[in-house]
Amino acid sequence: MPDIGARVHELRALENLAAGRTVIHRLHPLVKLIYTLVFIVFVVSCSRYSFAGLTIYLFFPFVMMAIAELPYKLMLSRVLIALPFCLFGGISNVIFDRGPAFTIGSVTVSLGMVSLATILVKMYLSVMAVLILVATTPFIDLTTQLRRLRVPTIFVMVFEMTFRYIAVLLEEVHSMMTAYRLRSGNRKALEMKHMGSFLGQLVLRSFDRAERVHAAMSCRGYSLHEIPRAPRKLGGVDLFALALVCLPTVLLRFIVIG
Amino acid sequence: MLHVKDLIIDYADGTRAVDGLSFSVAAGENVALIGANGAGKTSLLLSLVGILTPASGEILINDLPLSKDNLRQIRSQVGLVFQNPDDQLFMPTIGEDIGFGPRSFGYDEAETASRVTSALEELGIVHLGERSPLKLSSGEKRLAAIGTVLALSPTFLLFDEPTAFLDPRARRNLTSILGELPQGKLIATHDLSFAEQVCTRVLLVQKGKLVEDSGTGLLADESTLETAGL
Ligand SMILES: Nc1ncnc2c1ncn2[C@@H]1O[C@H](COP(=O)(O)OP(=O)(O)OP(=O)(O)O)[C@@H](O)[C@H]1O
Ligand SMILES: [Mg+2]
Repeated sequence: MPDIGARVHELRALENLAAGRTVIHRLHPLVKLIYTLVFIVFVVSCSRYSFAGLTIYLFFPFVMMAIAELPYKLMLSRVLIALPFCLFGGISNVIFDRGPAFTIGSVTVSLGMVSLATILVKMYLSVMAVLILVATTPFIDLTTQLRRLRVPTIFVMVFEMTFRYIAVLLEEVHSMMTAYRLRSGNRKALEMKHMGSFLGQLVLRSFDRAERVHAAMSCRGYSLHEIPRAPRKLGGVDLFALALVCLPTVLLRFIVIG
Repeated sequence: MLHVKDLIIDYADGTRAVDGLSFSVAAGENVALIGANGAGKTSLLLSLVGILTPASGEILINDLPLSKDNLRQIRSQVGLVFQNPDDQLFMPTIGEDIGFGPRSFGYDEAETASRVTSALEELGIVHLGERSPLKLSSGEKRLAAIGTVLALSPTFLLFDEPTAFLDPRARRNLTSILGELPQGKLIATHDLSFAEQVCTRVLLVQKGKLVEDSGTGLLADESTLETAGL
């Protein structure tokens, strides 16, 4: 809790990365969006025991991060956030799927363990793909493309608002926690008896704040129904780039992993 | 010309925040809006950009009546600088934040970029273009927030407590910048000496009603100010 301020900075840090000027940043946003989807579909559709084959994909994110000059540490720390959820889902496989997969010396590795490892690798690859997309494409470009792909306005809007709102919410928590600590003998955590009113206030305050941010956005022409900026046309070069990035992913999937 | 006639604003809980206000601000004119806490200044400003819908009355901006249908046009003509810059700056960098308006209004990248540059130059904050709003001082944030509004080249600027949080030097800087901006301005403020330096006319409101509309001489008239709760 104490470093929520730092979290807000981190969250914006990912967004700040999108202002870069590398080749990846300059790719057409639609190319990146489609490639990310292709990559995730291919990774997720691999069989549940395809751990060994999937490891080939592991270097993909690193190549992308290197070309896009993204900081490995920041990106990897973001991926870890999703880890507990996947572990939770994967553990049950270990318990129920006891059949032997292979043995190393005298240790038998069960199919369940292989599938847990597969889930983790799939999670890592998919989350990483999304993070790289977000870190190389300004948010507004992404939502413009979603609108262009005829994703219903309401989804795009919720997406945009959530994105702005998380930062707003964290900032409110930060300032309320600071005020709380100053008057509670510098307690690190919130006491249970104060939790209710704290959360209630938080919801009210952040709604209030979100309302004002939204007002400021609409004063400057933000509208839920229109495409905020004329989207860049998809040219021959962009299509070529799309084919180029998709090719290795597709080939690997069919030739190596099968 | 910004023209307000018999404006009434009610909140959902029944509070009447503005109670029959009428006045106008000419092009290029600098007008101070003063009044005690809760007098209705913020509510008035919010209604002038269509965030609050008045219960009755009329708002005309350059002869165009404010209505749901021409909100976009009105909002490119009238720029509101919020009391708290944190509400106004929501993009990762100041440059992008200033570009948000022009982009939303459909200007192309070249035009947007040139508007961003000229807003930054006009306010003397070119060095802040790549910075994140989270890491700026209050004075810098205030100028950045003004920049976001200038980028749409409005004819009227509305300010809600522009000198709040500013140190004397940032305040002097703001005074001289506002003095040079050519737009007509309506400035809600509790800072009477600031009002005197920037404005030529003063509107005094009390409980949502206009009680004085006069020159800056009013700012020295302590008994009138005091009866209005200031
Ligand atoms: N969201 C709201 N709901 C209900 N009443 C409100 C709301 N916002 C403001 N009011 C009321 O409307 C009146 C005018 O408030 P407003 O904020 O416009 O005053 P102000 O002149 O800007 O005050 P200050 O100088 O303190 O900023 C006050 O009585 C206030 O309590
Ligand atoms: Mg106010």
